[in-house]
Amino acid sequence: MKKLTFRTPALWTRHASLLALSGSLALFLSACERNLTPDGPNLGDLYGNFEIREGLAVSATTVDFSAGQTVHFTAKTSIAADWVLEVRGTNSGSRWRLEGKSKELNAANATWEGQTTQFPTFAAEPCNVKLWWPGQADTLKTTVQVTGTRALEGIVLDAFDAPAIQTHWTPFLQTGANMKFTTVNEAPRAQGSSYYRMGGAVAWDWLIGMLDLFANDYDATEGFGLPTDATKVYFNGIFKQKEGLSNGIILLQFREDDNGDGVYQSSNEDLWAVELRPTANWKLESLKYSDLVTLINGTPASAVGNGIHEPHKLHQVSVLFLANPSSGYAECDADALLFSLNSPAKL
Amino acid sequence: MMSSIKLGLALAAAAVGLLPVQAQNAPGAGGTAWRPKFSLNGHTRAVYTADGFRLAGDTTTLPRENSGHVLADLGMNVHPNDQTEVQAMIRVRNDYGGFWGSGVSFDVRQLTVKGLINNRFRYALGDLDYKLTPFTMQRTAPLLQAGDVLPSLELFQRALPGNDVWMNPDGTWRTQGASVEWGLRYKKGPESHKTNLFAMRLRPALGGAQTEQWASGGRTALNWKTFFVGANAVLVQDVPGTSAASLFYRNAVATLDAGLALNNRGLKLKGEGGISRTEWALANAPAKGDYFYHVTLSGATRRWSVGYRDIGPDFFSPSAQTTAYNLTNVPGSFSRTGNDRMLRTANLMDLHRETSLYRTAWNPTLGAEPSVYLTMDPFGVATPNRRGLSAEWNPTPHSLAGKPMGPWNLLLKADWASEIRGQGTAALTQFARLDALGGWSNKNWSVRALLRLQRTWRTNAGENVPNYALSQPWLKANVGYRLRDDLRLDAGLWTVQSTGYAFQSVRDAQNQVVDFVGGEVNYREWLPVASLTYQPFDKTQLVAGWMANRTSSEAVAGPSLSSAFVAYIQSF
Repeated sequence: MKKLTFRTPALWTRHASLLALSGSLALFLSACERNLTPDGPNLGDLYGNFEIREGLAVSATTVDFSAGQTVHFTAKTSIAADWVLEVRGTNSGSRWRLEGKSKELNAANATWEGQTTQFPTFAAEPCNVKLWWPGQADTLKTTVQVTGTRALEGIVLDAFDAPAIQTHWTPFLQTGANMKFTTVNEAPRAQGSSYYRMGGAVAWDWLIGMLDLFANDYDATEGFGLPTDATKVYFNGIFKQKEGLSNGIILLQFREDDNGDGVYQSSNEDLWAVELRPTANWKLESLKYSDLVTLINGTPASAVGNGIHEPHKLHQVSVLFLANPSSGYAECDADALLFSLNSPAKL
Repeated sequence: MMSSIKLGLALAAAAVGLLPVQAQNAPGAGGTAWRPKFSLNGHTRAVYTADGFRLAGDTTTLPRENSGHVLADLGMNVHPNDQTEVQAMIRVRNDYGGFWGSGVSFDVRQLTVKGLINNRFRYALGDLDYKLTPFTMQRTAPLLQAGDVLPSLELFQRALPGNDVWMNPDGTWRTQGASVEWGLRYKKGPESHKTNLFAMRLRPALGGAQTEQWASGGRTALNWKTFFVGANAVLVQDVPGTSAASLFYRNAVATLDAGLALNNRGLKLKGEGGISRTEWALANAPAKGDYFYHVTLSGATRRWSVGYRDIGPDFFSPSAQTTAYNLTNVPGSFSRTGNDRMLRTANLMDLHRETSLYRTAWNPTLGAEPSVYLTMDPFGVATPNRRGLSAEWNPTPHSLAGKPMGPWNLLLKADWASEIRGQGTAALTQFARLDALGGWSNKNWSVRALLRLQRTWRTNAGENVPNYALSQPWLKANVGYRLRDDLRLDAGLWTVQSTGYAFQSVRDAQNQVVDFVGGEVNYREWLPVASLTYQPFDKTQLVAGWMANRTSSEAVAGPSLSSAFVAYIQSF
C-alpha cells in the first residue's frame, strides 16, 4: 500500500489562491447591479432663462371647505425655481402660505385644504391669491371664493367658543394678582369667536393656574377615545403670549393610567409633558404623542411608569400656566385644543 | 482528501497547542514585570488665548475676546489582580477668572474595565477606543490628514480639541460598550487567528423619548507569514420597543480584506471589498445597498504604491464616513459677527482650536461638508460615488524603519476619480489631485512644505447648465530653527483657494439628493502661524505664539481673526 504523504501548499499556490479569491470577489461585486439614474433633480430643469409658460390658474372659483372640498393651483415655468404661493382672506386678513421649488404647480404640490398659516382662520370670504418667484420680477394673481370654512376635525377638547369655558374642565387658580382665567373674544382671534386667556402674577410659586381635564369628565371614554398607536396621535393647540411679555410658559401634561385601575399614580405611571413658550403671534403647535417626554423641572428624564406611550390609556390632560415668580405679570392665550389622528391638525 | 486530512491534523495539533496571541502580552501571563496596584496617569494643560476680530463695516462686534483655562485629566489605573485593570479618569477644569471655584468643573472623562478571562479572552467594558478598517470603522479627518507641516498648529489641534474628543492618531472612535478579543497561534497552517467582537450603545432611549441605538460587529483574521485574510462587519441599528417608533434605522456593512507579500523585497498586494445596506426610519424611504472595493499594490524599496477604488454611490458606512469634525457647527470664539449678528462660519483656525467643531458620535447621514477645501473625498477614503486611481511615490532613500536617510524627503501623490452616478445629469464629475509633500533639514534648520493642486470638472451637463470647473490649490509651508536642544522657533503659512464654478448637492436625512446649489466660487483663506516651543522634558511642551486667519469670498474681504496664545501641555 502506498504511503500517504502530506505537503504544505507551495507559496505560488497560495498566491494563486489569493489572486483567484480577489478576482472572484471583484467579479462578484462588479456583477452586482447599481442604479445609475442620476441623483436629484435634472440640472437642465434648474438652469436657463426663467420664463412663465403657463399662468396662475385655480381649479375652482369657489370652494366649500366645510363640505370637504379642496382647491389647487396650477402654473408652469421654463425651469425649476423657488416659488411662494399666498392666499389672503380679504375680510379676515388670514393667510395661507406655501413655498416650494419646481417647474410646475399642480394638485400634488399646491393644494389648499382651507388651513391657515397666519391666524385667524379663514372666514367665508373672497380671497386673493398671489404667486411669485423670489429673485424674479413676475408676480401672478387670481382669486378664489371660500363659501364654507374648515370644521375642527379630531377629538376636540375645547374650542372656547361658548361664552364660558366648558364645564368638563377642572380649573385651579392661585390667589395671585390680576388673575385672568376666562374666555375672551377680543381681536386678534385665532379660531372661532373666542379663546381662553390665562394671566396673573404669583410671587411665591411658578404655577399661576391650571386646567385639568379627566377622560371620565370629557366623554366617559377610556383614553379620550384615542387609538393605541402613539405615532398617529397629535395634540394640537393655538397659543400666543401677550405682546411685550415673554415670561409665560404653558406646560402640557398627559397622565396615563398604565395599570388600568381608573386612577393615575404619580409613583409608577407615566406622565408625558411638553413646555411651550408662546410668542406674540398666534401659532399652531402640533405635538406627536410619541415624541412627548417625561420632564422633571423642565429637563427630560426617565419615564416613571412603563415608559410606553399609550394614548388609549390617557387619563388626564392638564394645561398649566407658569411664570418665574420674580418676573411679574404673565399672560398667554390658548385656542382650539384638540387631538388629531394620523397628521397634525389643519386649522 | 490528503489535504483535508492534513488540515484536520494541523487543526488538532493546533488545538492541543492553543496559545492565545493576546494572552502573551497580558498581565499575569507568566513572568511579567512587576506592576503597581495603583498608579496615576493623565494629561494637564494650561491655555490662554487673546483673540482679535476685525471685519470691515462691523461696528457691533467687540474686537477682543480672551479666554483661558487650566485643566488636569487625572487618570487612576488600578490593578485589583493580575487579570484585571480599571482605568478611571476625572477632568478638573478651572477657567481663568473663575471666582473662588465657581468656574471649576468636574467631569468623569473615562471609565474602563479591562481584563483577561482564563488567560484566553481579553475583554473591555465601558469606554472603548475602537477601529476596524477604513471602510468599516475609522475616524476620518481629510482636512487634518493632508500632511504634518505646521507643527505648532498640529500640536494645538492634538492637545485641545483632539484631546477633548479622544481623537487618537490611529483613527479610533471613542464609544461606550463592551469588547472581547482572543487569538490562536497554530503550529502549522496559518500562523495565527485573531478575532475581536464589540457591542456599543450609541444612543440611550431616555425613557422612550428616543429610540435606543446600538452598534455591534467585529473582525476575524487569519494570518500566514506572507498573507492575511480578514472578515469585518459593523451593524448599527435602532432597538425596537425602546420607543413608540415603528420605523427603525439600520445600517449593515460587511467586508473582506486581504494582503499578500509578493516577494521578499516588500512588494505587497492589499485589498478590501464589501457591501452595505441601509434602512431608514422613515416611511417611503427605500432601503439602499451598494458595494465597494479598493486594491493597492505597494513596494517598500522605493516606497511607491498604486491603487484603484470603486465606492458605490449607495455605499453608506457611518462609522467610516463620519468625519471627525463638523465645520457647519458654529465656533465658540466670536460666534456672532457683523452688524446683523450672523452666526460665523468656521474656518481652518477654528478647526485647530475649537472642540465644538468636533463630533463624538457617528452621523447616520452624510450631511453637508463644506466644499471650499476639497471635493474629491470630503468623507475620507470611503467617500461614496467615487471610482478612481491613486499613486504614491517617495523617491528619497529611507531606512527600513521608514525614516529618510538624508536631509531631503519628498512624497508625491496623485489621485484621479470620477463619479459613478451623475448628480442631476448623466455627465460625470471628475476629480484630480496632485500632492507634493517635501522637507529638508539639518542640525538646526528644518523646512517642510505641502503643495496640493486640485481640480474638479464636469462638462456637457445640459444646454444652459454651467460647467463645473473648480480649482482648489493649497500651500502649507513651515520653517523651523532649533535655538537649543529644547527650544525651537517655527513660522508657517497655510493658504487655501477655491475658485471657479461649483455645484453642491443638498441631501435629506436619507442621503437622497433633493437639490443642487451652484454658483461662482472665489474663496481664499490665509492662516499664518508663528511659535516658540520649549520642551524641557519628554511629553512636556510650553508653546507661545501667534496665529491669524483671513478669509475672503466672492472678492469681498471676510473677517480677520488673530490669536496670541500660550499653552503648556504635559502628559504623564
